[in-house]
Amino acid sequence: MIKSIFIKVLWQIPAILAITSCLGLGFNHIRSNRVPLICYWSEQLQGSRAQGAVHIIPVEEAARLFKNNNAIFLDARPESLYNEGHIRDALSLPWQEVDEKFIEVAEKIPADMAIITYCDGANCELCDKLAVFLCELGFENVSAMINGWTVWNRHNLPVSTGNTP
Amino acid sequence: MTRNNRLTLHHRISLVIRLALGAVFIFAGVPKIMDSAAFAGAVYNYQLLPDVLVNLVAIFLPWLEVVAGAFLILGVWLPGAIIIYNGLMLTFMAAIIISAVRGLDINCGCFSTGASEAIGWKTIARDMSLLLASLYLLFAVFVKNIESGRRFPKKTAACRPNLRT
Repeated sequence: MIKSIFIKVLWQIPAILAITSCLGLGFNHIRSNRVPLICYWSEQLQGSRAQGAVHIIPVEEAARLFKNNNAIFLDARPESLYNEGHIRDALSLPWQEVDEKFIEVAEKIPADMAIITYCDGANCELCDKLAVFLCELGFENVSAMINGWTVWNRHNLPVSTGNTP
Repeated sequence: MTRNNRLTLHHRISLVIRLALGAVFIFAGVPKIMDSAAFAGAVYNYQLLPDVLVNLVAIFLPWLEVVAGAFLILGVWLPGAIIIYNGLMLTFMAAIIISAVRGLDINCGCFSTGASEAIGWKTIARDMSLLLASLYLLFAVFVKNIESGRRFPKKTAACRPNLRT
């Protein structure tokens, strides 16, 4: 009995792993927003911050600009996360879709306001990349708030949910 | 009613636990499948995997959760599914504890890809109870030999009426 269950485990585990691989790779292949199988995260993400190309804004400073209505916030995270919750009045500009969505969002950015990009997680540098992108396009006064969503919540600053600012 | 017809206590308990644990993994896996990009970000933030593996794990792991969960509920390939379930729970526990010890301020990425839950002692306690439940299943299947919810022992040739005579 013990032996038969051991043999079952031996073939069932590879079989389950094989089924899972097929489902995972297959579904990722047919879906519209597929992710690349291999992505060099660190290389992609660390470049901009290491070069000091981005102005990093602390949350207190960002909160002050927010209260005086001197800054517009851009949420660099995927849209689903934006809908779950975002800094109040922030616009959604997911880094993954920046090429498609940028024109639409850019029209809503008032000319005289500072731009603050944010995402979430201390290592998330979508906001850095977005900030560099905007700088290169000629926007002035762009900064990135590191770990923005988390620190914003920790300071109990205003947030909203849904797909509107 | 013979003794064989009765569900033993272990049968009943393991059936309830199987359904509950299966539901937990399906509930946890589906949002990650729907938003692979955000889950890949959560995996990267744990800083445990080389870059090359981050996206592959983000594609593969949620499906493994869903398949293992579904097999537990359906009672299909239980020995293999339970070993995989335990392996996943141990891996999650290890990842969360390592991150807590390292003092990483990251999202759990456990039940959703959003910023809803930071890792902490609550997460560890929850995972510990899931792990205990899945260890019980391991015991029920491998020691008590409860393979599925089947009440009757498999018919063997000796039990079959001989129709030819």
